[in-house]
Amino acid sequence: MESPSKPQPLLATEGDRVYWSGVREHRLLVTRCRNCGHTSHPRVACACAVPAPEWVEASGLGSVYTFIVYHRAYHPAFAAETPYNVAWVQLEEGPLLMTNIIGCELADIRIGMPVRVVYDEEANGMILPRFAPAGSQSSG
Amino acid sequence: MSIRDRYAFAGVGLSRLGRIEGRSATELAVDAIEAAVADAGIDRRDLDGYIYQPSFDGGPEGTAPLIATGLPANFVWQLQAGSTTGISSVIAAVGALEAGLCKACVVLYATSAASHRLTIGAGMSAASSWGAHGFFAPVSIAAGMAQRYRHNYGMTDRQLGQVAVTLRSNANRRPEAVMHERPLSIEEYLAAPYLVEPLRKYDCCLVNDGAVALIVTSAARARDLRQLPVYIMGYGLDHSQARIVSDPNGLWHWDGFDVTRAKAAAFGTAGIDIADVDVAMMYDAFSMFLLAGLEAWGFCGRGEAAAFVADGHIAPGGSLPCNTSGTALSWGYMQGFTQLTEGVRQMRGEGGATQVRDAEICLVTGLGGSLEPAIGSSMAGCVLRR
Repeated sequence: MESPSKPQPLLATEGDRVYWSGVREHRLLVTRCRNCGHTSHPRVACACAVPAPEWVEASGLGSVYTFIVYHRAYHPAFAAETPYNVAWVQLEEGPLLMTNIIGCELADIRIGMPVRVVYDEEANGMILPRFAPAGSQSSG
Repeated sequence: MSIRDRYAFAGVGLSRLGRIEGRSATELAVDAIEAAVADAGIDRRDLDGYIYQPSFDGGPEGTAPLIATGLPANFVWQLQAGSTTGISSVIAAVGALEAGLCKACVVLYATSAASHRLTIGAGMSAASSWGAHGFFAPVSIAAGMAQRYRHNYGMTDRQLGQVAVTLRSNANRRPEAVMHERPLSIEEYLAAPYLVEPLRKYDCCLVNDGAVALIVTSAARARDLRQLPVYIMGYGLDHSQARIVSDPNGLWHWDGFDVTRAKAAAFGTAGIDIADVDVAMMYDAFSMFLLAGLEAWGFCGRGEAAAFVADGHIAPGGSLPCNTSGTALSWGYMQGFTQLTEGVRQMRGEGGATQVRDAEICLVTGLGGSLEPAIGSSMAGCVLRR
């Protein structure tokens, strides 16, 4: 019997396509205003009139801004994974990225914890940027 | 000319609330409308405006309630603005009244979510990139806010639980409340497992069937009808397309709400300031939203709301009674119409065992937002007086 598959990332805009193709190449891409340097993901317009931001590769370093732990599954594809975390990491460039923390116990996740991106491949071949405690060994 | 005090609520009609098998949202809507017509003592031929919000189960079937009740309806507006829609419906009704497009307007919410066995919002992010990471359900946003609040201010689970316990105590004293018969102690709250940590089921709104209809009309017409009018002093809205919780420019952050412009508009039109509010309805789909609302609207400072609640300030005998029916957590969830209805009833003196004595001015709040990354957030406030 096939198990239900996880939702795929949504490719609704050019920005989505650039970002997710970067992820496939193990690069974390964010937009940056060519005028003031305001960095965001997904793109958030700043007050500058400069139309096209540039894509820059983020360092992959950040810290946990907040996190939650699902003790029940709201989607059948996640039923076998509970309890599992979803976290928001603030990249050192500024933007908040939704992700999961891996490489440590749930009980050890802390707001403010320094983390580093890991390009994590799911069983279905989907690659997701996840984050592990910075300084830990990982296969990123 | 300012709208202050020129429009009023003239009628309130409520269906039964709870799991009501065998009655559709349309039938519950009819119950509520008939109750409102009887309450107001209005000739239904004069009830010629109709605004309703579609609910999570789809709500009433189009204009079927109009056919059943024989209301004339010069216009039929289906209005969707998340849980600012209770207030937004009133704003739209006043606009239509001001333009002479109707004499009196129904604003309505009806749902059969419970008998449809819905888990509200569970599928919301299945089609977005958030679902790929396992993010689902609106409770997740409140949970992430509560986690930040714990980190920023040291809030304990016992403190957070006082929101649910206080509101349940209110509902226990209101016979029509869904949770009227079910007391909740802090021990029972803490014994419940986390759903989306750090929130538990008692931190989440009810899922119930029910309908409410309110009649908005001119102050003059309201004074000629059966009930004492509840005057609309002012209202305010704000919206940001900035992505919810991830954009620093938005109205909805992990660290709280931004109601600066909504408050300035509502209080400015009403001619009041925060000290004039006698009773308040914070939007409480989740306990954490009530805490964030208290701080955002200015009833206490940032970081003080958990202690404010734990110290009893929002209880009916406290310094700032809030959510006196038990609202979304314990009375019944009808999005923003829950808080609006209790605000109107408090101003009419119909709060029963949780009526705030001598309450003259009430602030009703609402908010809206989508979990899909592309849509922003809205904040709303409405000031009422008796």
